[in-house]
Amino acid sequence: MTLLRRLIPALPWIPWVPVLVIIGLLAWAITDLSPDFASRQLYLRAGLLVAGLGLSFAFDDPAAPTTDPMPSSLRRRRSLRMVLGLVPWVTGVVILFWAGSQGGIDPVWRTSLQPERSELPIGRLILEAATMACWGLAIAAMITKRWDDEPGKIASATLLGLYAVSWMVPERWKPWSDPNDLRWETVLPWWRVALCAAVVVAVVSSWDSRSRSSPLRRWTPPAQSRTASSSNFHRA
Amino acid sequence: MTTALKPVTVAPPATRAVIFSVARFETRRALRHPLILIGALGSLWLMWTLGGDVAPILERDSVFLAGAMLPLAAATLLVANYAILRQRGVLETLDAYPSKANHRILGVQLGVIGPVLVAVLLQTIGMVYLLLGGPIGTVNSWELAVGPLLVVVFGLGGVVLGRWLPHPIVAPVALVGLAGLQFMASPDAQIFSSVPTANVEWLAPWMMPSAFSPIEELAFRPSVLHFGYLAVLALVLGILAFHHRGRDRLAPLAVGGLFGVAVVVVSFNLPSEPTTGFEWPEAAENQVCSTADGIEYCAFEFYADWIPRWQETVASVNDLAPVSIDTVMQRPPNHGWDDNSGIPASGFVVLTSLEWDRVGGLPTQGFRLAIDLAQSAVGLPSTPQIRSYTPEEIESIVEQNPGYPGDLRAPLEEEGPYPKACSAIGQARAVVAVWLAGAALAEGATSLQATLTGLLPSATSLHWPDRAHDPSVMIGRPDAELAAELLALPVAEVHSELLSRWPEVMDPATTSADLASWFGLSAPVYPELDFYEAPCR
Repeated sequence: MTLLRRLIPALPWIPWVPVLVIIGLLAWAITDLSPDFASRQLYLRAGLLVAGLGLSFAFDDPAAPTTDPMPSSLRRRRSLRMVLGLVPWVTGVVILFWAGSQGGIDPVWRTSLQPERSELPIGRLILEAATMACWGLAIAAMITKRWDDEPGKIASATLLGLYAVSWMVPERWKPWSDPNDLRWETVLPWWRVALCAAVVVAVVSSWDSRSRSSPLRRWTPPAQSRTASSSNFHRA
Repeated sequence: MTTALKPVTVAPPATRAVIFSVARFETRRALRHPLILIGALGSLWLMWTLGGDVAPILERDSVFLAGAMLPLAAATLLVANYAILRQRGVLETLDAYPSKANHRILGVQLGVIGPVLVAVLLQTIGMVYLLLGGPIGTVNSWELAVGPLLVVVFGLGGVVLGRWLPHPIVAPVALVGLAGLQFMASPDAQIFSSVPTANVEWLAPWMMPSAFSPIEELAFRPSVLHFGYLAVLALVLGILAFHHRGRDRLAPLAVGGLFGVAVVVVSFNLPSEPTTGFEWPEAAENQVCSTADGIEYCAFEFYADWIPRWQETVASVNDLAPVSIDTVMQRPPNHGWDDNSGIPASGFVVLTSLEWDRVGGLPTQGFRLAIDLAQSAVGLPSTPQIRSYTPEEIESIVEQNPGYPGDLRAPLEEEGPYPKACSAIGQARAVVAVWLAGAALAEGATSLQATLTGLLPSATSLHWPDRAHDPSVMIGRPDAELAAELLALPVAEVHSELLSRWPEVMDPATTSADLASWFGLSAPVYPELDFYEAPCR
């Protein structure tokens, strides 16, 4: 409980401000679109990506060099950070789903069957959102274990890059599927595997204490460089 | 004896030298950044996707080449933003250097030159590829120049974001927002928007061409206005990034405000619908036509250079079996829906695609034209028949729609004549038509194989050309597969056998199984069809 109390102010909340602003704007734009999932899916998925980008900053911990030797384990601290980060993430996702279901669209939970024109497949969207969020966390966990105490920058850029690449792959391997597309059901295993892989990577990277081995950290300036600053001085 | 250290009085380096030094560093750093490599690869992929395997139309492809620079521009925004954030992290160290804060910002801004050079290189590669593919039309320089300008604007945007909202989440989120704006401002998205808007297409980073009005928009795009807007936007972003002191602090606000007002005023003074002055019927009347071997070819003025390529395809099919058409004419993609102007009663082929095959590429469009011609050669219709539903078809549709609210039969029976396909599934002449198209073209067999490979496992029939709303003939998938088997045999052998049995080939009663037996091939097996379509007579 003490750890939780201390963690709340230490968490990076600032990233959630632009994230929730963009999600709000996307939600507003979604309600302007015609009331069917096919028309709204692009904005919904963009909003879920933004929420995932926000969550990828959850492991940013500038005080890590100080807190690492503390008795609370890394996995415990990471778990708490993730749970706390999920609060604004869920808020963003709920806002998007609320906007997506405006205009007479019925939310449905199923993930596999193709949705009707007037249905919002919440189950599938949650699966996609969770996969994106988990990959954001997994990348951040990998980076912070090995190199950086503030991995959010690289994790968010990597997640954005992965998202872009996933749209660029040939049609038959693309994980994204339109509700009118017959691939709607066939891409489902891809999402399940991707989610499981992200969870495994995040857990493995957060289980034990860090073992940073950055070449930057090991680098020490050569003797010549250390004295270079004195070249502007000379004996009088 | 004592020694004392005395600082050497070294004159600070010239401002220009400092700026160039920082700019060189930032340019090299940007060029080595992995994000720029990923962005460049994304741009190459987009260049290929937007027009890599079709015949180049330089006006259209100038627009696409510029749009393909968006991934690189997005990467540049991130890299420039991270460069500014990096500077903020070591401000105390940097302040000890003989460069002012604004010099360092200017250095990052000039560092955008690196990605701009990459954009120019990519566009040059793209243009060379286009010029080697048998292009028509002329390059639109204003549209082409938008590509590198996009990289500049995004790069300077990344600097402004880093200066005013210094957090690494801002740039990725801004990119998603920009992507959203890009789609919202696209002409096709505005068609479905319930909010009446001013003309905002030109405010998008890239003016996305409309899928619904490809020719008219291409001819009347506000290219110069869009380029000017981006150039001024780059200037404004450049000014907004700098530190200002005293009264100068108001300068960025004034510049930004003036720019915003100017944008709003121009938007509201532009008509919300583009007034192109382009009318399809009028354009159809003024088509460029030429006659060869008794067949008239008519194309929109813009595409007139493709007529010889159509003639080559017609001649190739005609060499194998005489085609029975008088006219090959080009019509807009909405032909059959709401534009049927100037169509003769019979003996014609309509090309609704505004694409053709790249020289040396896979003949996708060529195969579609060849199959139309081949259908006419074996007595199948080359265009949809104008007719009402038959009782069997109505029965099939009613069975397929058990949940239809109300009586479905009555409206179907009352529906007037409308362009409809007929079914040639199981007919030998359908197999021969596909074989003729494949044998007539150099890469015809490959094109057919690509079509078959691209089919969903559940697909039971095909129809060419790929016009979902007005196919003329349904051809069974097993028939197309049998045609592919025939294409593997020597063309001369198959051709002479078919010519010797030509009356049988033309007979609708001759089945594909009969045809297979002529060549010692196994008879095709047909899956149960979900729906009934009237057979071709």
